[in-house]
Amino acid sequence: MSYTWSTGAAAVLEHVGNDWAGVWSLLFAATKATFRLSLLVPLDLGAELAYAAMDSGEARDEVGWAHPDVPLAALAVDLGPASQSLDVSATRAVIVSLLDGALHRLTPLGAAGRAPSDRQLARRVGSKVLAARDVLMDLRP
Amino acid sequence: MRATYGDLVGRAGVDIHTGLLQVMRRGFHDPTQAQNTVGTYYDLLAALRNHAWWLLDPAKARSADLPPQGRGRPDHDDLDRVAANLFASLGPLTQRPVQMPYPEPTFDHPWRDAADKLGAATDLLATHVGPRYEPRSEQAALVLDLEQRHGALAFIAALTDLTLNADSAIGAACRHRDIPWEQVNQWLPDRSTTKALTHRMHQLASQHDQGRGLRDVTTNIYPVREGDPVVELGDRMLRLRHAAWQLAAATPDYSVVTLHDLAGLGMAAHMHTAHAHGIDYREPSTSPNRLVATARAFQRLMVDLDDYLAPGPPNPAIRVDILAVRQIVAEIVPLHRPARALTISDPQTRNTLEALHGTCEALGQIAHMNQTVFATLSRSELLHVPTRLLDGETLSEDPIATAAKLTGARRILAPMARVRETVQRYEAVDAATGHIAPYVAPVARATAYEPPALYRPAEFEGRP
Repeated sequence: MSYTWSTGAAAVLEHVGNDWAGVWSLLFAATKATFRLSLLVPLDLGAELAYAAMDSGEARDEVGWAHPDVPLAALAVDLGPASQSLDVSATRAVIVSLLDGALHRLTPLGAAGRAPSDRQLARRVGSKVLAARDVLMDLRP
Repeated sequence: MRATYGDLVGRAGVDIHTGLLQVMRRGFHDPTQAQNTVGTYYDLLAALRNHAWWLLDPAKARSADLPPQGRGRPDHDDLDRVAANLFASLGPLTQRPVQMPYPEPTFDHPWRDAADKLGAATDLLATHVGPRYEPRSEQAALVLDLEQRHGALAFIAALTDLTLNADSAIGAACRHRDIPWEQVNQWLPDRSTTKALTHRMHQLASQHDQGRGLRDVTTNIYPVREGDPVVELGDRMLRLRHAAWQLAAATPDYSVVTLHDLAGLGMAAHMHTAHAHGIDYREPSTSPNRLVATARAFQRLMVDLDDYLAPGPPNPAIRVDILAVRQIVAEIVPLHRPARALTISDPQTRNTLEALHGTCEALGQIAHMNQTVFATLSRSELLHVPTRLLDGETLSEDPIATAAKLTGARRILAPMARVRETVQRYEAVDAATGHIAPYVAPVARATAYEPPALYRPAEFEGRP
């Protein structure tokens, strides 16, 4: 089933734009997928995944609070239920690729020349995404 | 250890006994001391009266109803009437009689401490109630319960009885210092009616004195003592529970993120507690331990709550506590270290486990309160979900949601079916923590009050 997750993730990465709405969509998909994964694995892994999902979900909410129109308009993608015979490391790689996509889009959004409020938002969101990504990367298999 | 109502009135009782024994044994060494003691005695009676009055009528709303009727009838059956008669027979409520001396400011006597403690006990109870009887904490239901306050009156009536019966001892001690009879009679008028009324009040109030009553009520202030992580954990959980109560009752914060964070904390706390017990939660088993099952229930709740689009940022004060508790729990039970089996029962381990179980218990109560908050939020039409997350079953039940999906709206008001799902998750958490009483468990046990062994009622019959 991680096959469909990777196709779905690739589609999201391809279709969302390079703006806040894109970041929001990617973070939404990543959070949802992480939470879904966390329910399928034993509790110790599941709790760490849930923490990572909480971090990325917080980043997503921050984008939503700073730009209230974004959650109204942006694409909310759910990668769908994962199967029982899932490969944790492959699924994890899919989620990390989604977070990486969000980080790539955050870099120009927080670049010099943008509004200061946007730069601060990009920094805050970026640090939370990085925190979630760290947890996912350090996960014991 | 935080002071409770029971502690304060119990210590006031000790002080009253100590002061009485002091007067009985040592008497007065000069007339000034006699004068000071009589002034202090009057102050103590006034403090007892104010305390009893507060218990009967906290917001001073019924002061007009309480004036005495049928003065001096100690056989009345109505506690309020008896108390009002008692107050009236003690003398004017606001003015101090002119003949009553004031104690010198430097005068030291246990009765002064007792009066202070009785005042502090009133203040402690008053922190839970607003000026119009509005509850201000989760313990307010207890304080606002007339039955409980009447029960508390029993102990106050016993103290009043003891204090009133001290007049013979004071009078005898005054006579030993050759204070004239006229003066002593002025200071200590005949209070036989008052004594009978107090006795009756004690009888009537004792009928209401069941269980622990108000004894375990603490102040409605939640300071956090940092330093010792176990102590800090308890303090922070109390503050969180109070905050969760406030969310449900007084000041709702229109953010689903707070609920989400609290559910996450519930998962973390139960998992760490399971780890501290050495329970293996890594292997999925058919009959998991209760702690593991609860952690899972909290996790499902958290995942479920994540679907809602949060209308606003969470309450920062609650968030600080949540993050701190998560930190402390991870600090005292690190998950990466293998758990010790529970063969070692040193005090430190026991304290830690006690704090952890207290945390889990408080989180069960918090989840119960959060259910109310969630219901409020869903009624306030502030909960939105992305349309794409709704499955076919939900859509087929809800025509409005279907129409929104067809017109291409990206987010809609959460349909009832979706909200019901979340409520079911909350109920699952409730069921998993069902062994916890829905009402707040007393936090700090008050020390039981035992009158000093030296005290025998018969000794007060006029013996100095």
